[in-house]
Amino acid sequence: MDYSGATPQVQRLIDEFGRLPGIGPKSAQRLAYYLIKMPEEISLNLAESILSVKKSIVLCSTCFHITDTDPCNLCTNTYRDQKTICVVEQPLDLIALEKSGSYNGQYHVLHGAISPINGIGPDDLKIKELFLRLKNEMVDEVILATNLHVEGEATAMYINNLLASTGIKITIPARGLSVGGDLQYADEATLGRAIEGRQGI
Amino acid sequence: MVSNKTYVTEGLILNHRDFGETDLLVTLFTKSFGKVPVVARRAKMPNSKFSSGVQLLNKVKVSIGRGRNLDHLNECEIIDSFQTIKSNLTLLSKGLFSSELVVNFIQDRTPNFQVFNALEQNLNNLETQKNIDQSMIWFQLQLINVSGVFPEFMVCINCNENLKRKDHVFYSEIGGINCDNCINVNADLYHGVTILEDSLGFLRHIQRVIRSSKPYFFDKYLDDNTLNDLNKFLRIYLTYTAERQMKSIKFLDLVN
Ligand SMILES: [Zn+2]
Ligand SMILES: [Zn+2]
Repeated sequence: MDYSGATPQVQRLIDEFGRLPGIGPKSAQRLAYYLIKMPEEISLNLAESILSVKKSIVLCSTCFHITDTDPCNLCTNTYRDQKTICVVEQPLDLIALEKSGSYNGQYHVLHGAISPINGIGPDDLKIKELFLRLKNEMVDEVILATNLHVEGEATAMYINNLLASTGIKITIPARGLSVGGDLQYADEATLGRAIEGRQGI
Repeated sequence: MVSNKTYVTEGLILNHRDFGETDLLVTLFTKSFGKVPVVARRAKMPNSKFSSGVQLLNKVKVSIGRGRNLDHLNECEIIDSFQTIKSNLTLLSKGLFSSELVVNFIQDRTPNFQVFNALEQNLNNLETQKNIDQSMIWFQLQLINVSGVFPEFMVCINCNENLKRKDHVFYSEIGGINCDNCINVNADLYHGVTILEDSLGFLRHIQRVIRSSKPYFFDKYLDDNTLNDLNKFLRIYLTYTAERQMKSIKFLDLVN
């Protein structure tokens, strides 16, 4: 890609856009020049909203979802089933499940999966925190909704092994989700069916 | 088989990482072309034609398109997904450790049949749960041999005298052992590890096998004591030769 003609400031903006997911060099360039042509007020709004999001966002100390109030709205919502916890890898998986409208329990976000080859073990995830919750909350069922790839399934296996002696019911989403795909990209209907039709391990 | 634009081969999925939002950059160990990085487009999408194929430790048949910078997957068909390994954390930890060793010990784009066969055989043994510990040790020794750093276990590194049949201290730094007459002057600086007499007997046997370069079927029985001792030696020596510890060792130790 030839960037000749861009000033260092513009090039920096292009580079920053280029770091974003799904943005290739061409799109980054297009976004940068679009922004330059925008009225100043609009670009200020954009900059400010990015900053305020970064400043106001915390992780919920109960479920570790991204939130601006701690505990988050999902954890404090008394209309939700308090006795079921759905364990997911990423906040985006939680959001996908919420969008499916088929689940009304609690969540627990691990922030990753066990990945031996990348040196990520159980201690690097919110697994200890999950067990602390299970000790302190009256939970009947844990749904292990990690991704259906080797690392996700290893994570589910690891948690399942530790839970085996607790008597808590452990379930996994029903088949229908395809192997390897990330939960967050599954379509809502499939995801909804999978979580409703969950089954014991 | 090979055209300018595409090539077809069998391979093992050693590793992959996110590449953009929905693509994966796969480290594929191919039978014919060695280790190659390959982009699997949209592999993170659930309806992708690659998502199940590029799972770690899969044996696959692939068609790969050459790119200007990076090659990309055209087709990926699973030959063996080693489901037994993947449904058992102990086996999985050993499988992933083997695959990380290969990533670290072989060069990109250099065919290496010996290592390919060794890794495939080791995965087959893990899958059928056949002499797992022996298989892991034999796999690591083959990797050390192919890398050209197989140590000397028969004679003293300094004076070339035959070593006595007893326990000895092995130094990774010199790739061998000093006899009692040639005390290592750098012993304090080096990382010595004691290898037991029985383990040394086994390592000498392997050294002879390797030197003869005759086909060899590994079926030696090793007792637990010897297995532990060999594992201790291998860990120190592999870490030294790779110049770093394998990342998957932590998980290996956790579940074994
Ligand atoms: Zn919460
Ligand atoms: Zn000597």
